[in-house]
Order: sequence, then C-alpha cells, then structure tokens
Amino acid sequence: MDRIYEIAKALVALPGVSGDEQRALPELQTLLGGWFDETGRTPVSSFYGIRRSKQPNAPTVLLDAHLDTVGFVVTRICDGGFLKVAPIGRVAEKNLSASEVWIYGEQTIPGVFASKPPHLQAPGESEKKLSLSDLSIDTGFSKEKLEELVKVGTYVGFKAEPELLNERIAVSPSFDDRLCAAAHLRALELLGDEDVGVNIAFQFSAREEQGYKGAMTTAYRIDPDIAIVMDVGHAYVPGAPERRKTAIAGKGCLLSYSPQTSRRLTVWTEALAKRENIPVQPIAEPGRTGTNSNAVQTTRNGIPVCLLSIPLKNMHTANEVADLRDARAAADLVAAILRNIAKEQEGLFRHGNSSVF
Amino acid sequence: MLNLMKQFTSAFSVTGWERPLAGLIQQTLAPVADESFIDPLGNLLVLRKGKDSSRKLMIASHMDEIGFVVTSVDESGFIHVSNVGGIHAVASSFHRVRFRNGVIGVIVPESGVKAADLNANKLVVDIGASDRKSAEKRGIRVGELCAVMPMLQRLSGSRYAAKAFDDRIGCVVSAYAALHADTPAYDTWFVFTVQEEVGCRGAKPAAFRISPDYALALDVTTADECGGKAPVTRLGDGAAIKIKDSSVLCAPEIVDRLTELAKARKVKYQYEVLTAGGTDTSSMQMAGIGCIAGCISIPTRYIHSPVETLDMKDLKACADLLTAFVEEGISET
Repeated sequence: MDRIYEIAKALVALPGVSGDEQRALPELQTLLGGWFDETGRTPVSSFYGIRRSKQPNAPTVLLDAHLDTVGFVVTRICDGGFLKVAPIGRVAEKNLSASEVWIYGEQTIPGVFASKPPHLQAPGESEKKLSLSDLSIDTGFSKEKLEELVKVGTYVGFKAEPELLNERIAVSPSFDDRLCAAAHLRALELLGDEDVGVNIAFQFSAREEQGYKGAMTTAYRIDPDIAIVMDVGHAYVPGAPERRKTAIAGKGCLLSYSPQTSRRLTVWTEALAKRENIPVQPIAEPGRTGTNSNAVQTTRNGIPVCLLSIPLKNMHTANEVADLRDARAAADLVAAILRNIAKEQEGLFRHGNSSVF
Repeated sequence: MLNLMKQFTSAFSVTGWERPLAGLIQQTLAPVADESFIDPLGNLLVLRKGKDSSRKLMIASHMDEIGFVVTSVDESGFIHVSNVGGIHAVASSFHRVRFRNGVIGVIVPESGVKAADLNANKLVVDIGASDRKSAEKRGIRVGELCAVMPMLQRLSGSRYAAKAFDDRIGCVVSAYAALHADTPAYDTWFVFTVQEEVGCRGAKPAAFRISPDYALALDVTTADECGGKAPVTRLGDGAAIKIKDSSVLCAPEIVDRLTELAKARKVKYQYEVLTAGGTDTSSMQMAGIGCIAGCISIPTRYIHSPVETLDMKDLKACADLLTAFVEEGISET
C-alpha cells in the first residue's frame, strides 16, 4: 500500500471537527509520539512535535497542516431520533443528503443525513437547492435514548472509511487537511535519522476552518524561522473555469505565488523542485490564500512562508478525491526543502534567537 | 444587582469613548481590587489575586455600546451621522439621542427615504440648531459621538427593557462576581473591554498583556423573539453556555466545566449555538500562544435596538455561574 495513503488512513480515522480537536489528541499522541524528540498540545488544542538538530543554534523550520475538519454541531434533538445541526466550517450543504456521519456524544454513534425519496417529492422539488435547515440526521434511536447520548453542542463529523478507487486515486472525507499532514510526516520518514541542520517542528493546527486560530497561536509558541504550510487546493474538473487548469490532479503539488507567502522562498522552492525532478504546478493567488499561511505569515515579527497544496476534488464533502502522486510530490518536495534549506537559504534565518530552543 | 444595572446602563459608552463607564466600574470595584488600571486602548483591567498565582483567568465583558458618529453638519444645522457598530436604522429612528457632552437631539430619517432603504448613513440628528454655526457653538462637530438616550423600564415580574444592555449587562455580571466571589482559584483579571462592536478589538491587546491560561467572555445572545425561527436561547431558561458563534468555537473544557458547576450549584443553564455574531471570546482565544476560552451569554431579546429585553433571573444565573467558575476554576483531572 502507498505509504502516504497508509498514514492518511490512520489520520482521517481520528475525530476532530473544528472546536472538538482535543478529542483527537490522546490518539494522536500515541500515533505520533515516537516521531519526535518532543511533543505537546497548546491551549487551543493544536498538536505539535519537534525534531531537534544537533547543530548548535540551528534555525527552526515549521511544517504546518491543520488538524480540524469541517462538520456540524447539534442544535436540537427532535422526535423520532432526528437531530438538527448547524454547520462548522463551510460545508457543501447541497450535497449532504444521505451522507453518513459519526456523532461524538457520550459515545460515538453513527447517523445518516435524511433524504426525501424522489417518489415523495413535489414536482420541481428535486431542483431546489437544499440547505442545512431542511435537513436532519437520522440516528435510529428514540428521542429519549438520544437525549441520554447527545446534547445541544455535540459535534458531528463525516464518517471516514477511506478507499482506493484504483492504485493512485483515493477517496475519503477529511483529506482536507489530513492528507497534507500525512505528506509532511512522510517527508520526515524520508529523511530518516539524517540531521539536516535545522530543527523541524510539525504543527497539526486546530481551528483552521474557523479563522486559523490554531496556526496563529501554535506558530507563536514555536517561533520558527520559516514555515512550510500545506493545505488542499481545488483541482480542475470538467466544466470548471479555464483558469483552474493550473491545478490538475496527478500533475504534481501546487506551489502558491501570493502576497501571503514569501516570494524568495517560493522561487527557490520551484527551482529546487525542477532540479530534483519533483512535479509542481505553480499557481497565482493574488488575494488571500484561504489557508494557514494567512495567519502564520503575520505571527510575531512575521515569518517567511512557503505554501504547498495538494489538488483535491469534492472539497468539504464526505467523498474528497485526491491523486496520491500529488501527495508524494508534496512529501518529496518538503523533504528536499528540509535537506537543502540550511545551506542554500541561510539568509532567511535569524541565527539562533528562536524562543523555544 | 439592579443598582449596578441602573448605573451601568445610564453611562455614556459609545465605542471609542468608553471612559465614563470605565471610571464608574473602576470606582465600583475599588474595594476588592488588588490592582486596577486602564490600558492605552482604554480597557479597564482589575485584578483579584487567587489561591494559585501560577495560573491566570481573564474575564472579559465589553463596555462599549453601539452609537453614531457625526460625519457633517449642514447649513441648516442638521447633523449627519454614520453608524458605530451594527446599528438597526429603523429601530433607532425617531428617538432622542444624547451626545458625549450632554447635548440632546432627536434622530430621524432623511425625508423621503423608505423604510426598506434606510441605513445609518441616512439618519440625521436635529438638536434644534438653526444653522451650522449654532450647532458648532453647542460643541457638535465632525467626529462627535452620540447614542440613543438611556432607558431602563421594568416590564413585568423580573423582566426589564433597556437601551444597550449589550454589553453593559455583561459588565454588571462580571462586576457582581468580582465583588461577591470568595477568593478566586487563580489570579483573576476582570477586564472591561473597549471597541468590541467594531471587531472585538479591545480584548486583543488586553489578552496579549495578561496572557491568560483560561478566559471567559460575558456577552448577550439572541433569545426567542416573536415570529422568529427556532430560538437560540429562551428568556428565563437560565445562563447560556456558549458552544459557538461565528467568531469562535469554545473550548470543550470550558463548556464541560461550566455544565458541571451549574449542576453542582443548582444554577439553571442552557446551551447556545449561535450561527451569527462575534464576541471577545475569539480575541482572547487567539492572543499569543492562545488560551482555553469560553463564554457565558445572557439571553436577550431585540439586541441592538433601544429596547433590549432580558430576565433578571437569567442575569442572576449568569452571575452565580461566573462566581462558581472564578472560585473553583477548572478541576484537575
């Protein structure tokens, strides 16, 4: 099995809807504790791990991916064992009908978004756009039993059972952003015990879907010299605008040119990818990137950021689709950056005044 | 508590000029304050030392209220204004307003504007001035602030209506807890913030300065209004423990702890899942390395109107719940 897919599979199985990330932390610690010299959690429930270099005053490179996923929160428990929910993050509401979910109450219970069969719909009803207020989650319990298990405020996430459509195309919820975390971790695996002359910090940030709060606060704690942020990007699909053709699934990871990233770091990274024969697709994002780069860039005195993305189809649904070749390219590129940055981009470092080391 | 409510809601505290209220609260809390000062932005910070000084709790309620700022004074002495914070223009029309310097006027829509097209920029204030010069003589110039006249009216039973309970009522709850709580579990900073209504700005530098381990905001939230959808909270159903609003997802550690404390102290509570609105909770959660943040909300009807309405029983529940948290903190598990 593809190694990144293997790691991603373990990660998407963990809970962690935005606001409920602390639920994932104990298992995450078990899963990743051995990968780092030091691990910890922050008050906002981000997880982080640090691999130290033996070089004195080594600079610190931060790898960021976000831990949280989109999902729902219970607003009402209704007759017949149905739940009304509000969205957490920008969920694709029109596609929810008949999606399977896990409800993180007193115990984790399964549920499905109810769907009105076409036979029962009024003429024209099937063309109507569904919104979350029309939908409820069926749990199969009685209202009384359900009230013991679930309260207003209980979090709900998509049920995660990843599958391979073929040897390179994978489908699962929460690839946003756990596939990216898997790519970062794979890069660490590729480095093995090699001391690349920089401290490597990995942050699995909370609350990205809610204004980047975890990235901002964790980067503040880690206080890195530079950061590599990785998130998913929208892959081109037939019928999408022509400009989206710069991000095609299977053609490599995306590299963002944006006011919210460091041009110097990005230009160097693109050249490095070329040298190492790693497929990348440069993209231009003239405004905000909609990723943790927004927050990390402006943490403390400002941090040079490089933003990589893995093209993804069906983002924020129960069936996000990714091409594993792109994830591999991202992992290879992160490993290459870590191997080469100390000798080639020394000018970006502050020379040993990082606050946590 | 009623006394505090009367005092705090009658003070002038339009966003950008919260000083009169800050002074009043500082004076009120002087007997219990171990330290108290106003920071450069105008936030009032009041410390009560706790049993465990290795940890810090920050309580935030915002002093500022929505209002109007003068944009121009015309030849005929009409004063044109724009909104400070989220003004409901229809609700504000045809009321008396008071300026910072005490001058009273009436606020009316520009003539010919239909209700559907009305916004704060189409409101004018008439202070009875015959021309620009006489308006200026009375101290009204570009940049002056005003708000609808204070009003506090008992409806029936324990229910009251007032102008701008939001969020002076949070200040009341916070001040009440500061005055009545036994020795706090941690060093507890009662912070009365500025500029919440324009993007939760005041709480940011205050939280940055304190860098708390735990944080609680006190603010109003939407309660049942007639003709509305399923209510977010209900008046009379007790203190609302916030799960989320559009600016924040509260720490489950706080939600669970407040629930425990409410049960233990027999305080009536309900949960709040708000799909709109923002609070200082967010600003505190993301300051510095971040902190474990939550919010107790006071169920309130008709928020951002001159007749915000609440139930004193909920207010008491909020104060009791806050007091419990201040005294007992987060238990070590």
